Amino acid sequence: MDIEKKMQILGAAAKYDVSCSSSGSRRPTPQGGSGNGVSAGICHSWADDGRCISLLKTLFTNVCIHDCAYCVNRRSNDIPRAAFTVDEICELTMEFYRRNYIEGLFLSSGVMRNADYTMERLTLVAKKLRDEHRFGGYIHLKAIPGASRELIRQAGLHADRISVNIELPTEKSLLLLTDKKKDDIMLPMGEISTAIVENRDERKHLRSAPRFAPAGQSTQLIVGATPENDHQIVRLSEGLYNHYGLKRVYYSAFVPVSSDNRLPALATPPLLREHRLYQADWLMRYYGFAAGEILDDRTPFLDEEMDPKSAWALRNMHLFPIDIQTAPYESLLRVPGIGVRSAQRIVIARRHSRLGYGDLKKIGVVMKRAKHFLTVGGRMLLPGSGRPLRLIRRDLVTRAMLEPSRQLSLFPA
Amino acid sequence: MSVQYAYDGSFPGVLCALCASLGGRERPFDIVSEREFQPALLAPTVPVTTDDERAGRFMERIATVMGRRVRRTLVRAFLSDLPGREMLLYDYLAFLRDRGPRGDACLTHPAVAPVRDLARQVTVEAHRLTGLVRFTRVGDGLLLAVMEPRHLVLPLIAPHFTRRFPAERWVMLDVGRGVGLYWDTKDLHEVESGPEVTRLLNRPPDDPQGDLYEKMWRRYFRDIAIPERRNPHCQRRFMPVRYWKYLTEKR
Ligand code: SF4
Repeated sequence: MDIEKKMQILGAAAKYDVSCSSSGSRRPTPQGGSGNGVSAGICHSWADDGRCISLLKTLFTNVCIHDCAYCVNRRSNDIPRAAFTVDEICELTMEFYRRNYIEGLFLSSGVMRNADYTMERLTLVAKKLRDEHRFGGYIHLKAIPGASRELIRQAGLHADRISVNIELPTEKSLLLLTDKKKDDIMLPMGEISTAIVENRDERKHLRSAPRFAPAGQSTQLIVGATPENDHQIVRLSEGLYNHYGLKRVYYSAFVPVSSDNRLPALATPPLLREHRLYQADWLMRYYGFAAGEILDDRTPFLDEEMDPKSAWALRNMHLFPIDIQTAPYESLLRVPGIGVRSAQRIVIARRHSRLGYGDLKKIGVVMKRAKHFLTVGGRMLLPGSGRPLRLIRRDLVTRAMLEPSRQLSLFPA
Repeated sequence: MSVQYAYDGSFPGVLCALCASLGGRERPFDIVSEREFQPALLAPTVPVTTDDERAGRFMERIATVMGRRVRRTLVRAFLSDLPGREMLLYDYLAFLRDRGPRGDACLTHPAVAPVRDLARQVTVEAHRLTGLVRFTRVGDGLLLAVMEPRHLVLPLIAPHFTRRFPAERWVMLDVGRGVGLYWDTKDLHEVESGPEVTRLLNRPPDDPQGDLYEKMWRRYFRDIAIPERRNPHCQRRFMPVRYWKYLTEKR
């Protein structure tokens, strides 16, 4: 089979993997080679579904010994199969990179023969790119569930990022839809996380120690294939950030790829729900929110009509209004309509002058929402705002840009 | 009576004009490049001679007195290449001269906001283009990228590519302005549009079948989108249509 044909089968097969981030790694160009890591990451294109393309995201092979119900590559699915050679992937990566199509490679794979055999191939690709092609660009490798410790350690020495996909939020779901066990996933994840921490320590003492996955570890969760609620998902993510030191958790709205009766029959992927989960995730990573503040047992699902910060503010009106001149940065961040950038700019600008409605607008604050939560000199920033709750709510609701998504009623009981 | 300064359109040129005009207390009638120059009825014209050394010293002074951030803002706002930016730069510097370096934090002040805004637009476009520039192979291993950016971002993005592809020979052309940069694996050279460049542009590709990797990239681009999630609005927001002309995957 020629490389073009393989590319047609395998290139698109990785499209359900969400991560395309090329950030978090600064790597100089190797002597006589090509490519470097830019820590902010660079997007090279945007596909027709609006997602950024930063990496050549491909499978090494779509042959797989497993039979996960939600996956196109499952053993029982009747589709054409192919496998690249190590050299073919290296060639493709280099040629795409040179034309400035990509920041690097994201290599995932079905499980061919067994976990270790597959993991070895992936590691070999990374090693060849680094050693023979003197490639300094970004490499993201998938750790194959069940692969041995040594291989994962090897992979991390050449890759910028490694990830293991959790896919399903609970072990119950995992057992229902796959033949994998929790340990197949959590053990490699723990291994990577330990290796990253050890490596960081090592490099403190020895600058020349080789780096292990400098851009960290990430994972992906499928949303809407199983009955878990948002509270469970957000709590899981919080745990992954705090205890496994993950850089990113990606959420992927379930796209039906089979008519397996263990899966829900969704008309469309739950995109709005995915969007709200990303917003909640953002609040945990950049706004200092804890999972328990965003959702709890009484409100197990994110509000579809408004973003999670607005929903939180509405439940916590007793904390507002706050004063624009004196409120600490952390409190400004919690005001609906104020983002990280505008909060920073407010803190700078208020040192020099008293801010008014017009200034905040120029700074980039969404006043329609923020006006209900801010005072200046003891008075509401905009007289008449701040109550009643019904009017505040009206201003906080974002037009649902996407279809309603929570169709759990369709779930087979 | 306030005067109109005419400079040669270059960055050192505008620096000399700014330096000369900021020495006096009076706001000039205008600062224009010779390219856009028209005699003003009410203001006498003072031609500015470009003196690279003087311009360099002026930049240094700005960096030490006002901070490197101001210098950066100045460079980027100038590269926006928008007509009328010279007087915005004047107002910005005059404000900082009177207010001191901390004036730069007055983000919403009419003398500060437009300049910082311009600088930001330029930075955004430069960052965008580091991703959207596409190279094609045009023979003897030479890589060619063609673009038509809104702002004069070439000098800002070239260093990114000299770092990334130090061992390749490449040319980047801003066809809208007829200027370009050539990297010969050691130095960057300025190239101007002319017969040499036209020949380069019209040169047949190495492989008459078309480049295999371009073909695969186009196919990959099409296949990577998930049909159930089509979102052309989002695609255009991040990758405005004006850049599509030179994108391999959109041609
Ligand atoms: S192991 Fe991975 S590739 Fe194989 S069927 Fe399961 S999800 Fe798909």
